[in-house]
Amino acid sequence: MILEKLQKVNSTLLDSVNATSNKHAAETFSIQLGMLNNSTTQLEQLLNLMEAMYEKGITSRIVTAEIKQALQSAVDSCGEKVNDHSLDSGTVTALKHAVDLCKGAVASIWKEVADKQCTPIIESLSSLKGLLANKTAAETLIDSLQKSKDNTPTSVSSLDTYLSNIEKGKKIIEEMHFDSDPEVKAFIGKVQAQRATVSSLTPHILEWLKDNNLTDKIRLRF
Amino acid sequence: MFKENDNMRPGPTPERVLAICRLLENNSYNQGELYKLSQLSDDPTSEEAVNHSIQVAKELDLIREENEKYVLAVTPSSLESAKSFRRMIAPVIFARSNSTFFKLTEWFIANSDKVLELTKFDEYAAEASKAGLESVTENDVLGWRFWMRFLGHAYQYNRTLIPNMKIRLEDAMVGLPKETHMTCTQFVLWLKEHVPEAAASCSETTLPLAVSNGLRTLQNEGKIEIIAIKDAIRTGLFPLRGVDKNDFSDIVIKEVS
Amino acid sequence: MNWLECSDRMDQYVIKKDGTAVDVEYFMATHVPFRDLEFLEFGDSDAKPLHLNEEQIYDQYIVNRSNKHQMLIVRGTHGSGKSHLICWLHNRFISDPVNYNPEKEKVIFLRRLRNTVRGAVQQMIDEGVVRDQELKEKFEKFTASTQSQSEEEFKATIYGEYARKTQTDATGEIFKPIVCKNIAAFLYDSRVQDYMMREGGPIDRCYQKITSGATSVVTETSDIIFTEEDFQFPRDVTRAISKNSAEEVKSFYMNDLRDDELMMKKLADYLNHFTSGVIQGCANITSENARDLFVNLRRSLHREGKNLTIFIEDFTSFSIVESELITALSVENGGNYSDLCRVTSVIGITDGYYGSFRDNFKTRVTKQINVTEQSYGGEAFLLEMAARYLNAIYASRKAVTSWYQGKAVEDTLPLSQFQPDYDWDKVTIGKAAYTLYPFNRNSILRLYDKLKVKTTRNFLTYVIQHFFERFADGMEYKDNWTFPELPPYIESVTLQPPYADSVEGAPLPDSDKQRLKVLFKLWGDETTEADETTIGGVSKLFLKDIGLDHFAGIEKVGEKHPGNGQNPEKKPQAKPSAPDTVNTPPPQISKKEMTFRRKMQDITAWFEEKKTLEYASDYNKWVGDFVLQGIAWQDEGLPGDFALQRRNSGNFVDIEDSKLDTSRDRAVIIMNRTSESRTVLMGLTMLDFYGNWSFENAAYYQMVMVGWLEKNKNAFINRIFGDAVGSKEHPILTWYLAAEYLQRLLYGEKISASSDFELAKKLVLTKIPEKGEKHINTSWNDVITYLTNQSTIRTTMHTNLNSGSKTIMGIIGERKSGDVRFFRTQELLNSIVHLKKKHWDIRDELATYSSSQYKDVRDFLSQLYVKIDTVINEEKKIAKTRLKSFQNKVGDEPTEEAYLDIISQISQFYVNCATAHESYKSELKMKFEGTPDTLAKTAVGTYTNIKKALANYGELDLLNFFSGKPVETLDEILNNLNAIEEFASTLEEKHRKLIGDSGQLVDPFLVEAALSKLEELSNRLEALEVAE
Repeated sequence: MILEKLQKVNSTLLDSVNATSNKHAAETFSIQLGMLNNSTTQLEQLLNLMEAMYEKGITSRIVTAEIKQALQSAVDSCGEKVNDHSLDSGTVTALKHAVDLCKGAVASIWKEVADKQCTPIIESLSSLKGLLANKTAAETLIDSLQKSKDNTPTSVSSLDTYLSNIEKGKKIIEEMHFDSDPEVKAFIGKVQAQRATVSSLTPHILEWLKDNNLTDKIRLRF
Repeated sequence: MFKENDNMRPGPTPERVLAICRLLENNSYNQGELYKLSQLSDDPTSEEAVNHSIQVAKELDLIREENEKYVLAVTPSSLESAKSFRRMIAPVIFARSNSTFFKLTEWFIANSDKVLELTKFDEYAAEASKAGLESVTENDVLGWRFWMRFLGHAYQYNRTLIPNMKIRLEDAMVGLPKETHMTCTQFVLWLKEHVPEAAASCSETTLPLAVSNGLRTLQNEGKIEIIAIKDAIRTGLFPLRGVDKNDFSDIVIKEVS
Repeated sequence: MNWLECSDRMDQYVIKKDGTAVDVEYFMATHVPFRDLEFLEFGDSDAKPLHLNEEQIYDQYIVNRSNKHQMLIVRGTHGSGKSHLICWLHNRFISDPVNYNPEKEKVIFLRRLRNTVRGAVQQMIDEGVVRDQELKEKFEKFTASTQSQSEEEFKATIYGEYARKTQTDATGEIFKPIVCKNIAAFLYDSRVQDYMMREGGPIDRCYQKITSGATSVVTETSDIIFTEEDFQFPRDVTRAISKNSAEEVKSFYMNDLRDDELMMKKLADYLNHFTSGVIQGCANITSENARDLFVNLRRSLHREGKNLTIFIEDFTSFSIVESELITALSVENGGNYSDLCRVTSVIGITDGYYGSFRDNFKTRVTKQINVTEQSYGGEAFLLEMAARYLNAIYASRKAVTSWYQGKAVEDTLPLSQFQPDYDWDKVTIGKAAYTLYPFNRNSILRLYDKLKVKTTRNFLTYVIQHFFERFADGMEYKDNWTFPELPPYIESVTLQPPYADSVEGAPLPDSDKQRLKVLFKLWGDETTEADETTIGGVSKLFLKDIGLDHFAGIEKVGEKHPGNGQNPEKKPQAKPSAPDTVNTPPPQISKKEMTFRRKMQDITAWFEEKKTLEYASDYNKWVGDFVLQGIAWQDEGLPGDFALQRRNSGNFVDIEDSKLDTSRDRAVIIMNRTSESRTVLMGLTMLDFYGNWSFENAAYYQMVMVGWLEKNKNAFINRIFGDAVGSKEHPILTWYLAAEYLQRLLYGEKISASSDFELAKKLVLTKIPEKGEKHINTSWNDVITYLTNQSTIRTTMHTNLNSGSKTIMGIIGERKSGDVRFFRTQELLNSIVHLKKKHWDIRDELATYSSSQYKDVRDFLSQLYVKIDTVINEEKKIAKTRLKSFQNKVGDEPTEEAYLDIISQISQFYVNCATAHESYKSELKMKFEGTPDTLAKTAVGTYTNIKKALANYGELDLLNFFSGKPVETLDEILNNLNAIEEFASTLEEKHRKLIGDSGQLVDPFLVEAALSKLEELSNRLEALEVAE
């Protein structure tokens, strides 16, 4: 009779539905785990970076209390949900948001710091790069520094690289007595602006030129 | 139809009057219901013919009104067949000697020589008018003619009416015992009483064409026998060449059923 | 009276059968004096004639007191009696004791038989006219001369004469002698001779002239024997000549004669000029000889002191010799011819010959007498002649002879002394009255009038002799009477129906009936009215004489009565009138009247002479109309429209032996060939012609027509309706109603619950809604197809139901009645009550009707019932299977609750489907949407109803029930349930499989890794110092 048949099929269907939704949940969990992994990896790196920046004396402490709180609660709820297999995209997303928030904070601090550090060096080097024997190297250095200024380092190692670049830049400038000798800096500036005249060639400058083997690098024009 | 100075519309025919009566055999209906039934319609038109048929039935006391409905006023057995209806109704109709119908029928029977000449119904009306029935119009003649023919006074053929009262006489004779014998005088008396519309034109001396030929036709069928005894008083029939009797002294009604 | 003797006398003496001459005494006894004879002087027919009777002529010219020479010719057409007149003049003369003196007068009477001169001469010899011996010898020689030769010999002689004359012609006047010889040789040639001697050829013509066959006088100036044509030989003759003839013949013919018309003419003329010589030579008589004979005779007589009166009865020959005779006779005596006797010649010449005679002898003729119709026609003449002849028949021979010899000729007749015992028509001749018995005035005149050729000879033969013979036979033997018999020259006798009917109706054998008709028609006054002494104007005693006294006739009736006719001038059979003695042209009759007369004759011939009825289509129409209008169908309780339909469908009237091809078996009105039918048809025809009933005997016709109608009324009604009509209910209408109802059921109309009135209304007035629905039941579908194909019959039945139950105001067959809706409703209701009582199954009743009328309707109905049987049986089967299926699905005792459960499960099922993301057809789902209660009620209700119906309903109720298509409803529900069941099964299987496939779901290592990282992070965050 049809009643029995119907009853049977209904039960089977329910079971089937359930079975299906379980599978579905597991799939979702796996996916979310993946997503979580992304966020946690990012957070880890971020934390490393912030620590390095602090220890290297580049920045002060970046994370605010709110950010810390957000991160903490996100991490905690992710932990909970992973525990009971019920990790859902919302929770993962919350963590992602907190991480982004932190990232944002780091980025803005870095910008400030990097800018302060890099800009004089970049300026000096740009003025000097024509005079240098390894112009290319100087230009590369300028580029790197410029990039670093705009982009937050993603890892500690990149931070280190930045720092070494800074040193390199500084070194070059010192060797040229660029920053320490204002007459030289002014003369270089005029030459760059093509306003240097013969009268600008003071003996001091002539000397400096001779010391740094740059006499051949200057040309006269009408 | 059957009143004094009445018109005789053709609408209410014998068939229709009987149809109305039959409806009331086992039921009573009011006018509207009768219309409905007769026209087989829930929303009947007020068909004149139905109305007139009801009126005629009333006139002849076939139906009467009771509690605002019509009921049958005659015994249902008389509606058994058209024949029984006819036999019941003829005496009723011809008891009304003042009606135009009666008078026109009377005229018809009495004036066969005129009738033989007529070929149109307006001529009938004209002749009847001349004879004193001034109100009779052609339409009346048409109506009268249906009933008259039904009751058995004439046969119609191509707008002529052939006077022959075979059916009427036969109807009147129903009830006479088998082998009733009458002398001609007795018969004429009987005729005057039982066929009153013919009374004026029948005398002991002679009978008009309609009656004469009716008798001859009945004799032809063996239903009556006309006898002419020598030296007896005779009543004359409408004379025809070629028949063996043009008068009779006695008549025997053999069997009329 | 010895009748056989009379008859014998008649044949032997009075009216001789073979036309031979009657004996003189009889001649004189029966001779009716000629009255009005035209008399002309001088043979000149242009002068105004005198009118004399025979006695006057006799007296003035035959008696010839003045003894003058006379040549009288008597003219008249054949059989007109001129020879009779001459005969009479002769007999009158020789039996006239006063005026005839045989000593002084020689009378010669040359009869017809011997009308050649030779004969005449022989006669004269025989009669001893010629006294003179020498003359006698000459006469004898004359007769002998040409009697010895046969015709062939004689012709040869003639021819030989021509040839001889040609050969010996030495005159050279026309042809040179040498040519003459050639011609002679030519003529002698046997082929030529044969041709010339052929019948109708020149020699034959010549022979006729000599002997007696000539029709025109030959005189010397008209000797034309040969013509050019005689020499235009036909080819076979030419061929024969060229093959076989002698050279000179051939040469002459081929070269000189053939194709030369001038030559031919010349030759003909040449030979012709020999003719008179030839004739004289052959006949051995010269013209003078012939003439001489008679002149000598005259001389001889003169010497004897006698005169000559010569009567020639019929002069029809104009041979030379005859002509000479006339010439001899015509010479007036006296003067130069004073030695010749006086001659009175009376010569009868038929009109045809007169022209020729006149041309040649005009001058010789002194008087001319013309016998015309006036001379011998006329009523009085005929009657007298009849009386005289009858008298001669009745009288004994002796009486006649002695009367003649007694010479009491002039104004007395031998009285036969026979008279019938009673009053009978007589004719007065002289002083006495002579009976016409067994004829009478009417019969004599009428029979004469009917003769095609009205001559006295025909009158005697075909009237007097014909009838008397049969009369005498009957009187003698008193049985096997044929008198009076219809003579061959009269086609038929008819009396007007009243009289005809009285004869037809008489208990007599057919032969006597026919005799009566003839008698009354010809002897009587055309009626059969009886008074004390006569019937139809004929004495009753006469009827007794001829064995017809058993006929009583009918009563006499006054003329004046209108019903008996007022239009004498329009009577189709006018009173018997005397035959016209003057030929008046018939009055102009209109075409209408002509047709009318033809129809009357047609009917008469149909009845009397058993001929086929010609104008049958008219009669059929009138008879049909008469019956149709004469019965008051609807007032007598019969469906009038059906009578009209029957009439319109043809073969309504069948008249025996009519030109129309109708079938007796299927006709409604059957008319046999009886006198009653004859009278009816005549009455109808007369009414059609006259337009009203005031023609003669109209009331009689009316009586017969109505009597016929009344007698046959029941038969007519029965033939139209059979047993399909009743008084309060008409079976035919019941059948129509049943058919309508059943059809509607089959078509699925919902009508069973209707009240009687509703039903009546629907069945009669509405059309069947023909739904194009299909049933599971194929036989049901088949029946619907069948019905659709029967649309014509069905429409007819429906129309008839309507027209047959409607009241009609009008005369059926006269005019189309109007369309008033006024039904004989109670009858319809009675039918419906009856049908309902029988649950609309009247099969058993149908079988009890046996008449052929409306059998087609019964057949249709019966077939319908059979088909319904099939349909119901099939439907029951199908229903049962569906019920079973339903039980299988829902349970043995399906309840609404159970069904509700099912519905709820179904709806749950669809929910689960959605949940399980299974797609499904929404139509199927929708079938189970709706209020569950309603669904359950429908499903289980349908089931229950079907079950109940199968258990309880009769067949037609089942039909009604199933026409609502409950089976289809249940079937659909079942289909839907099946569909769901199937679908569910499929899904169930699928999902069962799915459930088994679940397995390991999440990777635990990943989970761990994530967890530990998170913990680490959490720790670090914990330790993280925040910005100030």
